[in-house]
Amino acid sequence: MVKVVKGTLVECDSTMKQFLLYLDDTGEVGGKFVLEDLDDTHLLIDSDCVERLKEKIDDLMDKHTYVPDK
Amino acid sequence: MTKNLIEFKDLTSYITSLPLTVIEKIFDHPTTCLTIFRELPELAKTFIMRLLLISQEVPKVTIDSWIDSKYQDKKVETFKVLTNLGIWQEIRTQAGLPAYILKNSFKENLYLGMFDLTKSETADQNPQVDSKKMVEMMEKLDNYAIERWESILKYIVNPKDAKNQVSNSTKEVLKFAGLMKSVDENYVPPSNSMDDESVSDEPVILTAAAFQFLLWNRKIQIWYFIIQLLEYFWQKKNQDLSECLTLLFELSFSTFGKDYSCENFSEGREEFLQELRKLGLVFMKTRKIKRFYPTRLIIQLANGINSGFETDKDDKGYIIAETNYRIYAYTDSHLKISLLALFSDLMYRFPNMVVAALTRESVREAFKMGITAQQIVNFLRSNAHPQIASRKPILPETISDQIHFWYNERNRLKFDEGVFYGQFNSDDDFLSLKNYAKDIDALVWFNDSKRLMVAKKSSHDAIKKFYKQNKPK
Repeated sequence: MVKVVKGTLVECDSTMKQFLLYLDDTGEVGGKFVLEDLDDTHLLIDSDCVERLKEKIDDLMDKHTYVPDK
Repeated sequence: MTKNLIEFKDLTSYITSLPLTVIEKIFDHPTTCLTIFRELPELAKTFIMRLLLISQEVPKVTIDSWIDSKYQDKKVETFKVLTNLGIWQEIRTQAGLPAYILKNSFKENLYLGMFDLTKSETADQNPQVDSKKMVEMMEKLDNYAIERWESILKYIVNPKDAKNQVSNSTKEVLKFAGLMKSVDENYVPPSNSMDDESVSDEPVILTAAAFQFLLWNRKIQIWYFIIQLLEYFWQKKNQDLSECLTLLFELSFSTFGKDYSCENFSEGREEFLQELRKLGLVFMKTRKIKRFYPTRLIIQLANGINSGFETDKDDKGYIIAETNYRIYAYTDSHLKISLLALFSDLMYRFPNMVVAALTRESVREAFKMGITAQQIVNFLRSNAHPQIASRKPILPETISDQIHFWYNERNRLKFDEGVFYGQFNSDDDFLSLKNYAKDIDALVWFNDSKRLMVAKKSSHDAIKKFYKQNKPK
């Protein structure tokens, strides 16, 4: 029997993918959300988490940016 | 990457999109027929002029013979325009040949409009017009119109500060048009919200569409807004669209600086007029005095809406952007400054210029509102100060590239709703389903060696059906 999973396909670079897996492990988005690890640049995730994930990513990018003094 | 969020419809395409019953109604007025006639392509005008005074149908062969066969494309297009607008009807002659005849109401009213319009206009004239007073009035009207319209633009850019300057109904139209959106979804308007005295303080912000709207020149802005207003009246208030349209066209034929009576206006027309008043398209001293002055904004609409894409001559560029992310804007207009402040940090302000800086933070604020990188770049380019207009590229590459980088930073992930299929029993099973998904253009991702695939969510039912039909026995 074929396994069928509904979700959202995420396409990204491999660094972002590792970050998503990290978030999945630590549960920072509120529990597990990765449904299938497809390949280096693709993941299948829970559709309900997409919005929360987008916010989280924004936060992360903020932390990683150096802002010069004006 | 950027698509047009809102599109500008010209008059012909707007009227074509209306239901035929509405079109038929607006043909009952000379002014509308004349306006529509003016907006038609040259060839269509020629056809109508030739047919106008002929009371019987004209065979298609005759009309064909007017046009050189080289311009077949244009002819076909013109035929389509005239048929779509319902200006002429295709019938058969007694001999059974295809022929065309102008719609009666359109023909009569266009005739009236062309030869008789002056008469009806003078009937409403105020006999004692002092020329000095008239000039004063004109200036007053111009100032009034521009002040009103700018306050609406200001509201779009900065809803918090300008909320007292715009009426509630205009705010509703802005939301209806998709230019503003509510921030607080649970907001409940106070019970007396339709009352014009109280100010609706619903928290709203502008949408990406609004940013595009602000980049247009004034004529297109007004035209776009009026169409949205018509739609709003029609869809939300169930008003008679043809009444509003004819009023609009009559106004655009009126004379600047004169006042007109609205004593005998029906309720629908009166309400539409009040709405136009709030936009600065007509001026009335008070609601009670039933006289109004059309302003230049609405009169300009009639002459060449189609040519509205040219930029205003008095609207010169004012922005100089430098490679160090500084922006110098030579303007004293509050509107332009607040527009700039949407995506930059203001640093210094002088009487005739402001200095702003593009920073990652400020640009990101704009992205959060839904504005795209391309929109910002286009804005900086199209408003470039004349002094740097000859520079190539107008906007330094580091700036445009950086804005795009900042934008992409927020969009490193691509999300697609989809359905995952795995654990196939055999290669054949997998391949047949994969090929089927490919055929119906639903395959998003696959891995042959692991026998995995992801297809579009919308195609899941079709794929399920296909799988069941071809299930291995």
